[in-house]
Amino acid sequence: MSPAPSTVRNAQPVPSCPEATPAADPERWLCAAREGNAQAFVQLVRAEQGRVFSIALRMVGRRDDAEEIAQDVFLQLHGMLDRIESASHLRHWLLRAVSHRAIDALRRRSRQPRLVAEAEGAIVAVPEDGADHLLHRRLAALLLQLPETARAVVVLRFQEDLDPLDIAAVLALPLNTVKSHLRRSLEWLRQQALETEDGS
Amino acid sequence: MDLERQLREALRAGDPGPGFTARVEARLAQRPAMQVTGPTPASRTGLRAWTLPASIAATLLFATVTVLHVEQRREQQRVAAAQSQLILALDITSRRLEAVHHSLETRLSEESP
Repeated sequence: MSPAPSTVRNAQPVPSCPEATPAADPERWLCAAREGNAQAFVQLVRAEQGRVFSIALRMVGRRDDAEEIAQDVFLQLHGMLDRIESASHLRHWLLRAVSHRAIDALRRRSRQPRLVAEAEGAIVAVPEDGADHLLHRRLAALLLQLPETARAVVVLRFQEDLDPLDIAAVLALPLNTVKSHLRRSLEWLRQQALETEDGS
Repeated sequence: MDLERQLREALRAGDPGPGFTARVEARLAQRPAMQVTGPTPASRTGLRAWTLPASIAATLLFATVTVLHVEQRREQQRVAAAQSQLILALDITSRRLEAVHHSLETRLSEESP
């Protein structure tokens, strides 16, 4: 990793932050980044980039758009580090920021997403041995057909393992709306996946 | 089919690929220095502290000047209207007096031998 650009706040020892633990320590990185340590901010980006990028990609379906959204989220984060109070607050803020940016990006699109082509790009994780790759691709493609809010609910539920209450907080939606989106989306996904199985 | 398990597997978080962090750093570096480093919380608070009252004061000043200007224009229009009415009244009076004078002169000339 190249050193941080000089325009980023200089990396100095931060005596007021706790000592680093051998394991990854987001709390310390956050504390140090808040006080101007550029390398600590880079560590935060590295720790969270997968989560943020994956949500963006599953929402918008295109790698270049997803990367732009993810970068925008981290740039926004850099400008408001002093308002982030803890690692859990950081995670909540990131989920909220990327979800809303992705929903906004989808709403700005006037045309329908290119479902099949985008689904190819939406597979971001290396599949485990024995995993049903075709089914996973099909699910990713089906996900892109859901309305943007329902899509965000499903991604936060099954990628981030958030419960409906947390999803409601992240997306600023009523709890019952989240539950309704989740139930209807799962019913639709199940129906579509079964039709695919029957068809094949 | 266990759909929820399949969804969890299909939606596992992945990586944006090499160079993502460097690209974020590059974009940070491209921003103007004030945006990258950002003002200190105190100066940021100070900025907010005077920006809002200054905006309100400027708006009030503009509104006051506009109202005064409009009032001045109306007053000028009222004065001009009064002047034209006065001139019209004087004109009418002058014509009446002239008519009376003319009729008196006519009667006097008829009565005189």
